Amino acid sequence: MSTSTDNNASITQESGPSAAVQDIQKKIVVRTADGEVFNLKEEVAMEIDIIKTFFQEDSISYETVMPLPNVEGWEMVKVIEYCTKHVELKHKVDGYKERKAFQALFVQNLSTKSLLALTNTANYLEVKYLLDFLCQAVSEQIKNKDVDYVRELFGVENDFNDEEYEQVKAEAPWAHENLNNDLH
Amino acid sequence: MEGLVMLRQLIGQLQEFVQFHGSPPQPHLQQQQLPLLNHHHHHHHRRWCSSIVDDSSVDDYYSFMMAAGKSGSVRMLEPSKPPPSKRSRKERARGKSSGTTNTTEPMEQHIWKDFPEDLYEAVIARLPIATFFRFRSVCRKWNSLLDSESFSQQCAEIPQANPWFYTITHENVNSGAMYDPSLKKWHHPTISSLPTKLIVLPVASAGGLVCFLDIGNRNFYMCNPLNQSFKELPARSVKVWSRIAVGMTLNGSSTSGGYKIMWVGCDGEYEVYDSLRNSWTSPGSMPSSVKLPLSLNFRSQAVTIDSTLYYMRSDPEGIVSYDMVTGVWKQFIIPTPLHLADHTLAECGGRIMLVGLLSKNAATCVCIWELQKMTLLWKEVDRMPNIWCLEFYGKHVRMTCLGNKGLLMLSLRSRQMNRLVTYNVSSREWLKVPGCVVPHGRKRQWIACGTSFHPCLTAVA
Repeated sequence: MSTSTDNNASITQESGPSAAVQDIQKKIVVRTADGEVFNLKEEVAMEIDIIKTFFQEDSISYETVMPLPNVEGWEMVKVIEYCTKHVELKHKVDGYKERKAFQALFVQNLSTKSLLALTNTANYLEVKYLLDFLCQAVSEQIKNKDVDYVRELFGVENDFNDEEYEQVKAEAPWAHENLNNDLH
Repeated sequence: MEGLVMLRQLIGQLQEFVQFHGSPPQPHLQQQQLPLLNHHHHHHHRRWCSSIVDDSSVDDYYSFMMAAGKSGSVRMLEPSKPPPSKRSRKERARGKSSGTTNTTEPMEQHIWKDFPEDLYEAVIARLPIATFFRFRSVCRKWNSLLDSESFSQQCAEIPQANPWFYTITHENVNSGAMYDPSLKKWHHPTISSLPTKLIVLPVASAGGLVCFLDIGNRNFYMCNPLNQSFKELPARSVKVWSRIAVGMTLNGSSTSGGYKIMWVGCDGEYEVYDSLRNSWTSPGSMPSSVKLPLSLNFRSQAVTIDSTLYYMRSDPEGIVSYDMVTGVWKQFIIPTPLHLADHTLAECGGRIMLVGLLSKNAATCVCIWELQKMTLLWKEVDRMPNIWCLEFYGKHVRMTCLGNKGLLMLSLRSRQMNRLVTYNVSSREWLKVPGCVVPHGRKRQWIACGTSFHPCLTAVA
């Protein structure tokens, strides 16, 4: 039942004086759309509001496996990764640099489309700080792209007619200055 | 398979695009408007411009402009144009075409299936301002974001970035030059609704709106330089033609909760404008504890901390403050540091600062002081790096301080020289500012006055 991600979620269990306490720490089990099952440490699971609400509002037993039909396995891995780090840094006094380094690595190998998918997931799962971070990351990735790229990425069509399009472009000509420098 | 489908799609879109426009759009076409505009006014002001500027007895921009006014080159106020019409809600309802992809690849479907509207907005709200304006041409929905409540909400939630600066240059008094310190770029917007026949100067700002006052101190105008939202304030009930100091506060955390504008004159007269009621009121008269006449320091912009405005004055030297909520005036006697000139108030994180030129013998330096609230004394906390100060040695330097909250822009000039620097009060960083040059121009413009403002795409006047 458990996948390799199970170990990631409970990796700190082995060492430390609080190991005994952590052994007793409860686990919450979720199943993603592709059938993968994840065991989350309670403190990490509670970072995810949709999970928190599910179990706490109706006092559902932790033995229940919560289904997450809108989440893919790879997305869950990433969310757990981020939330675990967030919880870890909560206890640190000056985690600014560490957080920045972690964030840079986190998005490093993700395509913009994957980032968007993850953003959608973070929104669905209701993890505000992850959502804010991902929105910022997407905007960073697209800010120097041209309009066509953006349309394709978000799956929108150019629904302007000739006139309107020219008018829109003419509305803030100052923003289009120095454009060449921005694009490359 | 998926790659081929996407490629086909892309080609289709490109074909459509080319059909619409023939060739890729030329952004430069629009810029040709600007030099024409500059030219007309440039020629007009040229004559008296050079004669007055060299006169070192003119102590600040205001006097310079008043002299210009008296020479008769300022004409009657042109009726302001109506604000640009907003896009209809119907156009906004035209949704994005989701599922343009024909592929059955699960990931593609998964992305577009439930992508909620506010997620687009959350991403777009975080884009740099210039990029936002560029992406308005993506589709109709994106173009109408400035009218969207939810988008406004998103913009309001994002932590404030560095302020921008809206400045007026000597060379072109009728349109502004905006500076973006994070990208170190100058922009030259044309705010079509601002009266062009009359000179208006930015005097205060809050929440993304800039308050302009015409040179005769008669009328106020509110404007968001980014989205052209514009409003002329109703005429004041008190007809005061002498010089006034102006302050602005927000009722809440953004302009949507309303704002207040206050003017105060040297004789102790003052009025407050409430944007929610769209009217001026005279809340009362100054308490007798405040010594009149108020020799207000007009070079210094009023500082706002929460709902209190702080004005700098001399005779006695110090600060007078007014709380917009309680209507209470307070007076603080604070001796000004010696050998100080061109000083202005600023603020950072609730701390009141003083910026000024310190001149001793032939050496001049820009200094920063912080107000010690317990002792009501100024304490020097920083100085401009020595190397930069050396440039002013032996020269008669004047300084104008633009912006007074967190990030300051200092315009330093002497007969031959014109230097622009920014100073970040909390990081204590001094940075050089690239010269302000109009598009297709070469000559560096001379920054006369201006204010900082928080770039807020959705603030409405």
